[in-house]
Amino acid sequence: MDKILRIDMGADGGPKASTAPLGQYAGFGGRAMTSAIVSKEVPPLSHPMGAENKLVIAPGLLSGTASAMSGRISVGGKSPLTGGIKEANSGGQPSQVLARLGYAAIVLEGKPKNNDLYKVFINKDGVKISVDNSLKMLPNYDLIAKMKAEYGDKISCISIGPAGEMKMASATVAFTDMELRPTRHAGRGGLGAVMGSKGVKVIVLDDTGMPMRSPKDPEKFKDANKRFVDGLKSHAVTGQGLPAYGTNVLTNILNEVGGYPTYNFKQGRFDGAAKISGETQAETEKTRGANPTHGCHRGCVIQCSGTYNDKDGHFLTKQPEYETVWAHGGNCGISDLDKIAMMDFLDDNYGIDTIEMGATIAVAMEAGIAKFGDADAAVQMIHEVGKGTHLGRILGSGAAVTGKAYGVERVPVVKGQAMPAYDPRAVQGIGVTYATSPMGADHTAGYAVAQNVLKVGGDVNALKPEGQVELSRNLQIATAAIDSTGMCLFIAFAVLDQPDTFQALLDLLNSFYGMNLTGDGVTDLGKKVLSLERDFNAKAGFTAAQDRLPEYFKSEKFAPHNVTFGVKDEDLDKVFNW
Amino acid sequence: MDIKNIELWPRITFDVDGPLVSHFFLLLQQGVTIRSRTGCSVAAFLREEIGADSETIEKIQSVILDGSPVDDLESAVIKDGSVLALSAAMPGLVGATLRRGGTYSSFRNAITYHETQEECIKGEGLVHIKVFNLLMAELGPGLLQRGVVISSEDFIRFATGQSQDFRQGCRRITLDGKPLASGELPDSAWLSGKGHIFLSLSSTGERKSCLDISLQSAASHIRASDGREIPFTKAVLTIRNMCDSEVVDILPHATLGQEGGTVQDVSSSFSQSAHSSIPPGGAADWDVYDLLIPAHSGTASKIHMFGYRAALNWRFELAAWAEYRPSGSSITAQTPVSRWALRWSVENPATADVGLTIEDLKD
Repeated sequence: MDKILRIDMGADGGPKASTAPLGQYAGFGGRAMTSAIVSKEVPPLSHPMGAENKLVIAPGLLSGTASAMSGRISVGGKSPLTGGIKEANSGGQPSQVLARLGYAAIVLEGKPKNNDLYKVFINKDGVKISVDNSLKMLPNYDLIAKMKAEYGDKISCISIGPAGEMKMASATVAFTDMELRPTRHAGRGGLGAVMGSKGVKVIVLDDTGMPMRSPKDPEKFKDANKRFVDGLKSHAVTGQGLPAYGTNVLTNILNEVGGYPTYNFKQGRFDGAAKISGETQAETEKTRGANPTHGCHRGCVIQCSGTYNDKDGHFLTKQPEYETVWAHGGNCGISDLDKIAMMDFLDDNYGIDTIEMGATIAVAMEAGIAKFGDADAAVQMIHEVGKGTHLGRILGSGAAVTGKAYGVERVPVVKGQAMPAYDPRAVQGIGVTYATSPMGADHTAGYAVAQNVLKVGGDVNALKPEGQVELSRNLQIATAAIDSTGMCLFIAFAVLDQPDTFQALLDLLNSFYGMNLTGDGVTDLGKKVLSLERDFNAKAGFTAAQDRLPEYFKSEKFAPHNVTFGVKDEDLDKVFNW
Repeated sequence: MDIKNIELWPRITFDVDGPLVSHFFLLLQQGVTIRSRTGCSVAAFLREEIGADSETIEKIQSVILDGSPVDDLESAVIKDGSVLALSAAMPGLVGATLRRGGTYSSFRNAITYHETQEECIKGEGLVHIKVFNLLMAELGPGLLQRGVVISSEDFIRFATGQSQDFRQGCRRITLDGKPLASGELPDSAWLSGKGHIFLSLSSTGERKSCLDISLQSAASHIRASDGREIPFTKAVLTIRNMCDSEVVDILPHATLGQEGGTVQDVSSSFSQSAHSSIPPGGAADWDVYDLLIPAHSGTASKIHMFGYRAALNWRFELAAWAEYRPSGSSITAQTPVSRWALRWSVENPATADVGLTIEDLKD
């Protein structure tokens, strides 16, 4: 993994591929790599669909090795949804395959001179770029079936659906899973539209003949990996809760504490929660012969993904995540698990972010386009997006645009990106992260709950109001660092409670690269990444005014606790003071 | 009728055990009502009313009382009409935030439970309990055996969702103490007018499984790449019928994981030597090295390239269980999951003898 592949889509005579050593980007992986390249090479004021924007796809530092949980892949660029820098990451197979092929990043640059659609094939012999207009407007599942027929089943794919081709701001970049299904997505921020603007429909990867990446110190690496896996398996969340129920296990408890945004963030409880909970979902899957315990990439030991079958026992979609079930479920007043699973499939097939789509449907329901709870109308709205009708174009542009188009005040977005499934009035600390993350409202931006291990920012008095600001800062730093390793963010659960597991992660990196990274080094990496991202956004025109929740979160009481968001603006402005 | 008049509600009792008990667990996420002592702390309630031991209480990482997360189980008081929800450790930042007394509890200061009752009023009352996720299997059998009040609407939805196999698998169903005909459930139309019912299970103990699964070592030989026969200790997985009647439709399952690698379903390997029935006292054996390991794609490819040495000094984790049907019964039963750690290693470098250690793993 010692080179970067650049494909200039606007080169004279057609797209041209070139490879170069890592140079100034040596030592970077995942989010650190994407944000470093974007902040260095993309003019902050450029148009997200313009030739100056770049789409960067980077595997993690340990991808392609024998390390467990190393299969995350980051996608970066200037976001058409937020107008700022964006990194979205995904599971699936391509990270491992791309790393084994030796690439630390693929950078799509320039803009094609015509409307041709391209496919890119990469294997041990090199890169082949070809026009294939027969792929136009193919949904992801049909596209992958066609690639399988053409290249065989030893491949993995990175692709966009029709939403990406139509350059919609909620379009995703899809990654195939172990079964060669396009179920994993770099969802947030509309980076699928950037890929669409480059005219690339699919990148097909084949690592046949390429060996697994070898560590500098194999014995220490093997030992660290064993301790890392043991730590994950012994933890109650990564070893039991997630494998049994997946992330949707959160529905019941969020609903119980009144923090489950319902009917477009109007209230914190949904009467139909038990019908769409992780417990009900897992039981439904087992009854229909599907599997609630399944990995999204090889090397996963947490196994939190799964499969969801229809009533006849046929595969319908992957097990929908908590945020997906919430977005299309409680937030839209829908309690039909099969309809929610169908919407998950449609989102994946058309290539749309499930969180943005669900939040947008709820805003549309508030606007009166359909009634809350009308599942068939919600399904139809996704089809409108996939077909690119006039209504579909508006909906596919996200919740903020839809709210503007229909004059809706209650639009739950920050920096143009829809909030996920945790109301910031009930859980105010996460509101600090929603408001201040360079990525826009993002629950994963402050996800790596490793503060007690890393001690980033020193000791925090969590009982003081400003403690929430400090905690959010530390969480964002830790998350940026873990995103940069390319490890699945869910390892953070074990890292939170088990310092030995965090040390095992450091030992994995150190034994592989022959370096001596410490907790402080991880903190510095996280700060560096966040600084690059904040700097890009500032140059793109972002000010403190963008680091705020919508006003109604401060004034509209949220039942059942009747709370409003109480963190002061001046405290939000202190988050990145380090 | 007031829900407080528990004695007046129709009493439905299911005599079931084994896997059928888990069919009732989803009722617990919606919530059930019990009559209990009130005016005590949440900690005392969990210990004395729910019967949770200290190990189980440790697993209860999130406690929600009347919609608010509780940090101190000793100071929060259960009252008549309280709603108590219990969850194991949850993922994500918000999962961590909702844990009792966690580092991130300040994130939800606005909704945290604060006890306002200065003096405990001891008494008896009704408490609504919701049990989520992994705790359903921990606390569910005890709660259901004690008996719970649920809305008749919830019960009807539960009953109509059950298969004929479930109904026939129940040894007995009684309504107000009178047995119903086999496979019959109380009339839905009659129940729907009742408002609530008192539901209990008369037996929630695990029925002894007919099939016993064990893993043992056995002396054998293996041929090395140079043609030598090397002493090699086999791991033999045995399923034995401990019942007095034949067991049929046996469907064994197994997962295998190699340290640092993935856990994979290797059940397909059983089909190579299918045993669809075992007579009383009979047994079926499978050689782990010859049959199960080749079904694990990661390990199999290494052994294919490097021979048996690729399996040496690695820790393997094997889990096995089986579905089966006692002859004459229409109900499929399932054994508990048995787990072991295995490690092959050279015992005598001079002769290259390969020994095997097997460790029983408890859940």
